[in-house]
Formats: sequence, C-alpha cells, structure tokens
Amino acid sequence: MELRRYILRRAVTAVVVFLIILTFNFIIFRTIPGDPIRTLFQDPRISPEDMAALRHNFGLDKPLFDQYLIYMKNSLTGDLGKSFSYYGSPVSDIVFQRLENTLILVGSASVLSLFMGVGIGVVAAWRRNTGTDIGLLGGSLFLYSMPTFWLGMLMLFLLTGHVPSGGMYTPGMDYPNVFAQFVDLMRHLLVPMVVLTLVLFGQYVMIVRSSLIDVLSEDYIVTANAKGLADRNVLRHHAVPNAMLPLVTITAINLSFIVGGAIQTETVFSWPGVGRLMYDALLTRDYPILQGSFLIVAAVVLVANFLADITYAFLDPRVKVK
Amino acid sequence: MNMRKSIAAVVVCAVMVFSSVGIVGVLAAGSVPSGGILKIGWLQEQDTLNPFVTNTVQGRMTQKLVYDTLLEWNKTLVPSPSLATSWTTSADGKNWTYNLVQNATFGDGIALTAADVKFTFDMIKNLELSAFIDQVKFISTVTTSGDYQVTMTYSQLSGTIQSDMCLVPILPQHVWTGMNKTQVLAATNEEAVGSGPFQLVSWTKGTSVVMDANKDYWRGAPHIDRVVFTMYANSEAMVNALRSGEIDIIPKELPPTSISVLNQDSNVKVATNVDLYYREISINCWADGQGNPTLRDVKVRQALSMAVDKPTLVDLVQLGSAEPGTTIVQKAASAWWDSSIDPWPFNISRANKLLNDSGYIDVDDDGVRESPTDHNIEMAYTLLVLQRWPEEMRAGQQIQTWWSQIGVKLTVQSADANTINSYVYPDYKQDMFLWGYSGQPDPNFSLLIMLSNQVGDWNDCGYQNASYDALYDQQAKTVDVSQRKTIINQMQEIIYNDCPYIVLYYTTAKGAYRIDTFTGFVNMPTGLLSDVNRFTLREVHLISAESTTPSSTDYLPWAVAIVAIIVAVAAILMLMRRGKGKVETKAEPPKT
Repeated sequence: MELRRYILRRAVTAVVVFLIILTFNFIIFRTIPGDPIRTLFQDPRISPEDMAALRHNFGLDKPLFDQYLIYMKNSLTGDLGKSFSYYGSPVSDIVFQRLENTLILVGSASVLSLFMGVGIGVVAAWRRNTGTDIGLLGGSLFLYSMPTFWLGMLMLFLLTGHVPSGGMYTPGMDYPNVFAQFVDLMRHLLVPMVVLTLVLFGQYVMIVRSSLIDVLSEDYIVTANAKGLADRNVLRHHAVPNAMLPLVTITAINLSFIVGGAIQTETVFSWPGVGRLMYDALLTRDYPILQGSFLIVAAVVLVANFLADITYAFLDPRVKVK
Repeated sequence: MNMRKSIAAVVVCAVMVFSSVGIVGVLAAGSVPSGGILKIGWLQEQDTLNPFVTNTVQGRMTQKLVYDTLLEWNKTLVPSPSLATSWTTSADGKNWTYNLVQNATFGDGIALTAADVKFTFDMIKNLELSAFIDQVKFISTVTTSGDYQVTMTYSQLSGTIQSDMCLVPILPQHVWTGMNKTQVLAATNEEAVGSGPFQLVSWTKGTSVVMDANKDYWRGAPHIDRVVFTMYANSEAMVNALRSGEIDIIPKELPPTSISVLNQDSNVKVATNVDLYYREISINCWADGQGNPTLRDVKVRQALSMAVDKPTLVDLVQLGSAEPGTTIVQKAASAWWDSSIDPWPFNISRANKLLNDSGYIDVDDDGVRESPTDHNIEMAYTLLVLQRWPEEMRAGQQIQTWWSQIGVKLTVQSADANTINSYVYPDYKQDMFLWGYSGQPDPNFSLLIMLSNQVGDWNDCGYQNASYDALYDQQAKTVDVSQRKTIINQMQEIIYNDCPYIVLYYTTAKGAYRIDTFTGFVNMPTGLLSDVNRFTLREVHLISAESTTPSSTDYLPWAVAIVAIIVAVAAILMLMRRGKGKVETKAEPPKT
C-alpha cells in the first residue's frame, strides 16, 4: 500500500514538472532575438507581403498565446510540429533519427564505462589506501577531468589514416548487405565510443569506491567476517549490493547526457547526433526542432529519475517511508 | 559466483566488445568501394535545394551541378555558350534569340526544349520571384519558335544580359508548372530534377550529399561516377580526412593554419585562387536609424577608415592569404574592379587632425571624443562580429586598439547571424558590423547593395546617394563595355570616398586536393569548386582505370586496443590475487 502511494506521489510530481517544462520550453526560445522566417528566407528582396504569406504558412502570424495553446495541444497529443529549417519535415522524424544516432554512441559508451567504473571502483575500495587504490583513483580522476574535445582531437590526430575522421557511415556507400553496413558503423563508432568511455568512467569509480568503503565499515560486514565467510562472499553478498544505491542515482542523471550532452564528442567526430541538431537549430532559430528536442531530453530525464526513485524504493525499503 | 569471477566477467565482456569491434573493423577495411567516387569535404552544406530560396554559396554550387543555364561563365569568367549554343541580337539590341542544344534531357528522361526556357522566365516574371527578378526585369516577352529557339524581347537596353543568362537555372516545366508563389518559395525540391551534369541521389542533412553523374548529359557524361559531399563539424577533422585519403578534395574552406602542414604532404596539393568575396565593416549611416548619429558624418567614417591598417590585418587575421580591400567590387571580378584605387593610407595623425578639424573634441577629457552638436553623444561604438568567424574577433580587437588612438571607443561583440540581422532590420539599431559579401563575375549585384531603394533590403548600412543611384541605372543600360566600366569606376570611387563600408580584405579561395587518385582539378578564380566553377567535377578523372583507393587492412588500432585490454586484464587479475585473503575492514572488531 505504502509503495503504491509512494509511486503515485512520484508520478504526479513528474507530470507537474513536465507541464512546467513544456511551458518554459515554449517561452525560452522566443526570447532569443531573431526571426526564423528572416533566417529561412534570407533574400531581402522577398516582399513584405510574401514574408507575411510565409509567416502564415508556418503559423507564426498568430498571437503568441494562440501559438502557445496550439503548441501545448500538439505536444500533448504527440505532434511536435514541423521544422522551419528542414523545410517542413516533421520534427519527431528528425529528432528521433538523431536520437537513435546519439543513443548508439552514448549508450554503448555508458554501458562500457559503467562496467569499467564498477570493476575498478570495487578493486580500489577493496585495496583502499594502498598504492593500487591511489593509482586507480588518480588515473580515473585524470581521465575524468580531461576535456572531451581535447582527448577526442588527440585521438583523431594519433589515429589519422587508421580510423575514419568523422561521421557515422562512409557517405555515398552502397552496402551489399546489412552486415557490411554494421561493420562500417563499428569502424566509425570505435574511437568516439572509447573517448567517451574514458571520460565517463571516472565518476563511477569514485562513487562505487566511496560508497563501498562506507559499507565495508558497517557492523554487519564485521559480523559476516566474524562468521568466517570467505572474503569474496562478503563482498559479493553483503557489501556490493548495499553500495549500489548511489550508482542508481548517477546513472539516472547520466541518462540526460545520453540524450543531449555528447555535443562535444559529436562535434569532434562529426557524429550526426541530437546534440549537434540542437546547436544547429539554435543558430537557425528553428523553434519546433529546439522545442521538440528539449522536450524529449526533458522527458527522458524525468522518466529516468522517476524510475530511479522507484528502483530506490525497491532496493531500500526505508526510502518510501521518508 | 564470487567477486573475482564477477570482475573477470566484466573484463571478459569488455574484451568481447572491443575485440568484436576489432574483428569487424579489420573486415570492414577491405570492403570500402572507391574508384569513380570523388569525395569532397565541406564545413557548411547547402541551406536548401530550392533555387529560389538558397542564399549560400554551397546552395548555388549544388544548383549549378543539377541545373544548366543558357550561358555560363568560362574559366576566365567570360559568358560562354551552354544550353544556348549560339545567339543573335537584333540591330536595336532589344531582341535576343538563343539557339538551344537539341539533345538535352532532364534527369527524369524528358527532353529540355524551348518551352521549358520560356516557362522558367515567365514564372520568375509572373510570380515576381525575387531571387532572379533582377535578371528578368527588362524582359517584356519570351517567345519560342520551334522546340529549340527562344527569343527574348527587352523593354530596355541592358549591359548585363549575358551575365544574367549565366545565373537563371532552366527548370523543367512539367515539375514546376501550376504552383503559386508561396508554393514555389516553400518547395523543398527534394527531387531536384534538372538537366545538369549531376543528379541528386540523397541529402542526409548535417551529414552528406550524394550525386551521381548524369550518364546522358548532353555535353558528355562526367568521368567520375559519383560525387559525395561530406560535412565535417570541425575543420581539423576535415583536414585530417584529406591527409588520410578519406576525402579527395577540400574545395574552399581550408583553414589558413593548415596550409603549411599540407604543403609538406607529398600526396596533397594546396590551391589558392582569387575569390569573388570581400569582408567589410558596414557602418550604419542611415539618417532614420538608431545607430550612433556621429557615424552619419562622412568625415567620421573617413577618419575611421584611415585608422585601419589593412595590410597588418591581412597578415594577422588571414595569415597573409588575402589582399587589402579597397572598393565594393570584388578584385576577382578583374574586368570591373577599379585598380586605380589604393587602400586608405593608414595614418593615425591624419585621422586625428580630420576629427579635430571637424569639431569632434574630447570635451570631458575621458579619452573619448564627443559630438560637436551634442556633447552627450560620445564616439563610442559597438562592432558586431559573426560568431562563426572567431578570427575576425582578432581583427575587431586590433581595430579597437587603433581607434582608441584617435579618441574612439570600440566595443567588440560576437553574435550569430540571426542576432545581427535582428539589429539591422528593420530599424537599423546597430553601429557597425563585420560582414562579407560574395559577388558574381558581373558587378551589378555588388553595386546594387548601396542603392537608396535597397534600404531595408540589401542595403545594410543605410547609405543613400542620389547621384550614385543615377549612375547605377545608367550602367545597367550601357551596353558598351568600356563606357560601362567608366561609370562603374565612378561608382566605386564614390563609395570609397564616402566609406559606408570599410572593405577590409579580398580573401582567397583556399582549397586542397589529393593527387594520388584523381587528376584534372580545375584552378580558376573562385576556387577549385564554386557556384561558378563546375568544371572540376566535369573534368576530374581517375589517374588510371584500375586505380582505386588502396584497400589496406589496418591492424594498428585493433592491435593497440587488444594489447591494452590484455594489459588491463592482467593487471586486474594480479590485483585480485594480491588482495586475496587480505580483505581489511576499517571497523575495529567489536569489543566484547
């Protein structure tokens, strides 16, 4: 019963936050100076009447509040509108295509960095305050604090000629089969994925290490040791599961980066992801694309946090009581 | 499962991921097809495929590959036959008859005839399509005689007819017929059906444009099978791609800093050509604008011009690969550029004297001069610089230093194009901004920018001068080339003296190409590939028939990755072993 009420409360909060975000999303881009129609049709010789006709075509001649109502209605019914700069293509088509590209890159890097981070974090905690710990922690911190674009550029220069300099596929290729296309994707994916993994895994190391060290000093660990359990049993069954709580939080937060935050990596490796889409849309004042992609990013963060809350409740029964 | 096993599992997973990536990568390296595919790198793609909307050099460039025009500029920028193989002019100069090629077809197989030519010009005129309205404004009727002859009757004599015919793309009537103006302007034109040497295959926005050679091209098919434009998000990666052979050519946007590196690469040739382009500072001189009113005084603008050392800027900002600017006609339009004009001589003391003599004195002694008519108005200006030109921020800072020596306070601000536009139109709120204009081989457009009736349109500085306007009309109607040149020289001098623009430099088109696979690249004014130069893509061909990009299997990155993984695995296993049986806990044993 209590759990159900907890979930309900969280869900209501998420919906309210979503509606607020939806509204902000509309306002924020309209406060930037600049006129999308003027950007689209830059030829100043286009007459004011034709400009007005085009404005009408895109619905930009309506009062702002009417635009807002239309926007709310469409957003809530899943219609994200049509892009200004991509000449009328549906926003959801464009954004989801780019989202897929970003997920391939950041998703794979996140999974890799999670595994690496947990593995190294556990070792560091286990061997804490030894040379091993200092070495692992220092190395992780060093990579974590490295600017993504710099590391990316460095890799690009070092590997010139060995890996593609950018993009997701070799443009203009006619693939004989899906396997060949997959192989081409892997060639393009490798370096950006490695760069992103190296930059991301450090935070997992630190979280897992400090959380595990806390747990290892708990009485029940001492008890477990006292019972004569093997070390690996103590770690595996008593320590590690209890140390995983903070990891859930940080994974949920990182999900937002999965969607929007890889813009540096995407720029260095010319990866056609959603981060670059947002940047380009900002320059062209493509409101629908901006709104659509921000909305999707916001939705992903909300859902991720919601899931994290619920996972918490399952992992730690004390949470729902608080 | 114990701890060690689970870590080992993590490691095994990692190894599997990396090595599978490695294996497929090795397999992939052998299968990249090449040969007849010319790969081009660029940093900015076309804005649209619609010829009536495009406003970028890239857009006009892809247009020229897809569409043909009646005439075209040849390699020395002289109008020459294209779809029109020959033409005659009536004695009064008002009737122009063009004879068309008889074997031209559009990409969908339908023949191009005189009806398409008439349709194109009629549509532009009837719908008043602004992109080409200047090219058709004096045409009163277009008539056809048979399938391959078109006659255009002009209401006015015009000196720009031949160059106009190099600009208007001939569109297929069966595709564009029946559209109203909004439909034409909002058209995506994704099929891009034209009669040109290439046909659009796909445009993946933000990634690539693929075009196949038109095997039925009426002039003979291009030698290459396919051309691929790849978009790079940064110039370093693009230069890298050229060096590694992933692309064959960077037509234009080569960063000056990379030239010395590329010069050392024996497989790459750097090509620097004069370009139809200049960068300038546009000074708001419109009387009804909201910019600093002191800038409306021609003496102030002259003093500002004198306090800009253009040769220094060329070295500092363009690393020497540009020429100091003088007039608003691009230097590459060499037939029309007024060579007798020198850049304003850099002279701080003369500039100071001019301002003193004109009454601009620093009344409150704060280092900044005030207006003689209103001491509350300081000579303090804001210069807007386009955010995607970081190098021009450097120019702005340098100019700031020079102008501070003549009692002018300059604030340099970076802004995106949209923001700058919203300052200028419609209220002219800006003081000045740094901008660039690309022109055509004919200077008509470059001159049009300064017309009084263009305020609110192309005229972004609000300059107005009745005698300049009169000269513009006169040159447009002058057919005799040397007479027209005399008038155009006069116009260039007027702008030079009145300084609504401080033309900073004429930049060069900096490109580079690989010489190991393809040959036949055409160097000409405007660069290796441009809205005027489509010769490169028509003429370029493989060095030898079998020559393809070597499909070398490249093991290095995979070897490095695998070695790194093995080392990591070994290290972790070792750590695990050392840790065995020594798990310490911080907590003291409970004292009982």
